[in-house]
Order: sequence, then structure tokens, then C-alpha cells
Amino acid sequence: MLSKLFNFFNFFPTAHCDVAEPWQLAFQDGASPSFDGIVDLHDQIMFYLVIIVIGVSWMLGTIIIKFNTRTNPIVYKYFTHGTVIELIWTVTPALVLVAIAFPSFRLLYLMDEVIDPAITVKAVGSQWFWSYEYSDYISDSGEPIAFDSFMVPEADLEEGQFRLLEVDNRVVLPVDTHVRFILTGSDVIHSFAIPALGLKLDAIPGRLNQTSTFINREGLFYGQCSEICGVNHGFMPIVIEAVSLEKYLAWLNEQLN
Amino acid sequence: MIRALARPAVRITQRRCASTSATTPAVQLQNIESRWATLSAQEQSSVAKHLEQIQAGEWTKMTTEQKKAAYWVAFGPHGARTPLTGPGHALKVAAGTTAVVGAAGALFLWIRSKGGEKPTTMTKEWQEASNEYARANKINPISGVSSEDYKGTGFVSSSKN
Repeated sequence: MLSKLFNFFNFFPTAHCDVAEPWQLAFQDGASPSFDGIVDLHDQIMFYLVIIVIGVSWMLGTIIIKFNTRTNPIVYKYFTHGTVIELIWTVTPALVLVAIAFPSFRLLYLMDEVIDPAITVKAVGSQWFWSYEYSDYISDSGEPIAFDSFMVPEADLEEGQFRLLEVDNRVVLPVDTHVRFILTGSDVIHSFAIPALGLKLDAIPGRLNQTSTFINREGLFYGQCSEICGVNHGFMPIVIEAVSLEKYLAWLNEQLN
Repeated sequence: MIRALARPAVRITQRRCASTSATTPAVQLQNIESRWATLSAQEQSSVAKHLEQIQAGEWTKMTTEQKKAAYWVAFGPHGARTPLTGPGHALKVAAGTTAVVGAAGALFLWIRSKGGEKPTTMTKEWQEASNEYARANKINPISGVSSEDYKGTGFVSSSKN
């Protein structure tokens, strides 16, 4: 409905950010345990959110409708405080915060753990492209697999490809494998973010940040730099191509030869 | 401080005490709501005190006029309860807000009219090709465009080729 309305007026061109579908409101389909955890936490918090929204709306509505000056000018004229109600509205939010905090911390520390990675990929953010290095593999000449990844300009896109999201060199990774990313920036702070994998980590000059992922299905996963890094910040996308192990090995051979 | 603000302009003690029931005939209570603003602070105080004395006695013996006056002095729109805005204020606010929002909309349309052409990726043909591309690359296969029995339009948001 919203999409039709805006399309009717043709006000806003659709932004295909992260390959969210046009006017998508919910999450993209997840492809890693981290992202599943994020969605679970979102759903848990949404439970409390709905209760709070209903409770607060009911109280506000009651006050506005039943106790306004027109319908009820005298009642509670001298009512200035109530110990019981103050205790209730102080303790209840504290309990709700505790109930939200514990699952949140659990997820945070689970995501922070880099579990025995099989592959390590270095990603370096630069103004305005990403450079990747697969340091686990060395070619005969002693060089690791390394390449830069630039956005494909609109004029060079093949029909159907996503504007502002396609890159000339994708990061190819195998599914069902623990992968570690080591991130840094070469000039200013960038942020390596791929929503469908639940990844977002700053790439900071002079510092190595690490995170990991475990991609559980094949596919293409789009991300973008998520830290304002200059005029072309919006033009340094990230594309991860998740493939089977066999295809990954074939790709490795191709890169090393 | 909040309590001080919430205190009525003229405080009336609502103790029921039959010992004082003296009245002062000089105090006029007719149409107190229309005359109140014209009274001096001293006269207002004497009216309030007079009503306090009456209410200290038997409430059942109060006349309708006295009850009306006592109610108005205690709860009427004067002193701290004087309305902050006059009649028509809500309309003025609504008109002002509408004007500002309208100006913002006009500015938006003007800026948009100066914009370049839409990207080629915004045509229906391209977006349909995007759907095929997404299916070929297994993008959003659980609930999105590549899922089984998908009924939505996927990446097609444009109606023009």
C-alpha cells in the first residue's frame, strides 16, 4: 500500500540498500547464527515493547479522556503524589530493563567470540573502496590472494544488477565454515557491514578489529560502508558471494594460478 | 515548588464547623464570575473570606448563589487558572503548522524538479531483470523474492519501462 502510494506520486526513487526489497520493513533473510540471534533478541524486546506501548497508551488515553478539565474539573485537585504508584512505575521499568539486558549481553558476548576460524580475511577500508587479503593462501611467488573491490558504476551494470551495490571483485567464501574478518582502515574510519550476516564492525586506522561469521547458505550478500567516511561514503559497497566448498576451492585455484 | 504552583489562587478551607456562620451583607455575590476581574485584590480577598465564613457553617443552608460563587472562586478560570490562550488560538496554531509543512513540501518539490533524470535501474524492465538476477543468486530465499510461492512484486516498484 505504502509502496503504491509513493509510486503513484513518484516522489522517491527506491533505494536498493543491502538488497532490502523496495519498502521492506522487516529484516532481510538471515544467513548466519549471529543474525538469527539478533532476530530472536529483536522479537524478545518487541514483546516488552508491545506491552509497554499498550500500557502507556491506556494510561494516557484514560487521563486524556476521563480526567480532562472539561469532564472532570475538580477531582484530584490536591493530588500531588502517591507512594505506591511511584514505586510501581519505578520498579517495573527496572525489571523490564533487566529482562532485556540479560539476553542482550548473552548475544553480545556470543557474537564477540571468534571460534577457531578456518579462514581469515583481512579487509581494509580506504576512501572509497575495500581491499581484501586472504592471508591463509600463498601463491608460488609467495604472494597472498589480495585484491581491491570497487563499486561498479551505473553505466557498466548488466541489466538486473543492483545500482550502487555491485562491485568488480566479490569476496568469495565457503558456506558452513568459520570465517574470521580482520578489519582496519587505511585513512579514516570505515565500517564493514553486511546485514544478512549480522556483521557490522568499524575499520579503524591503526587498529585491528576482528569479527567472525558462519554463513549457512549459498547466495549473494550485499553490504555498505556504515561509517561516514567522506564524499563517496555511499559508493563503497561490499559483496560477499557464499559458495559451496568445492566452488570455493576452484576459485582459490583460479586466484593462485 | 510544584505544590506551590498547584495551589489555588484563593485557598478555601473546607472544614465543616458550625461555630462561625456570620455573614457580611456588604459583600455582593451576584454574577461574581463577570465582576471578579474588575474587583481590586482587597475586594477579591474580602469576597473569598466571606465565602470561607459561609462554608465554615452548615453547607445545606447555603443559597444557590453562594454555592455558585464559592465554586467559581475556588475553581474558576482566574489567577493561576486563567487560560493561557484566547479563543481561536488552536486554529492559529493549526494554520501556522500547515503553512510551514506546506512550505517544506513546496521546497521539496522544487528541489526535486531540479534533480536529474532517474537512473536506468528504475525502469520496470530493469527491475524485472533484478528479480531474475536475485533468484539466480538466491537472494532472500526464505521470505523474499527467491522464496517458494513468492507472491510479491520483488524489486519491481516502477510501473514505467
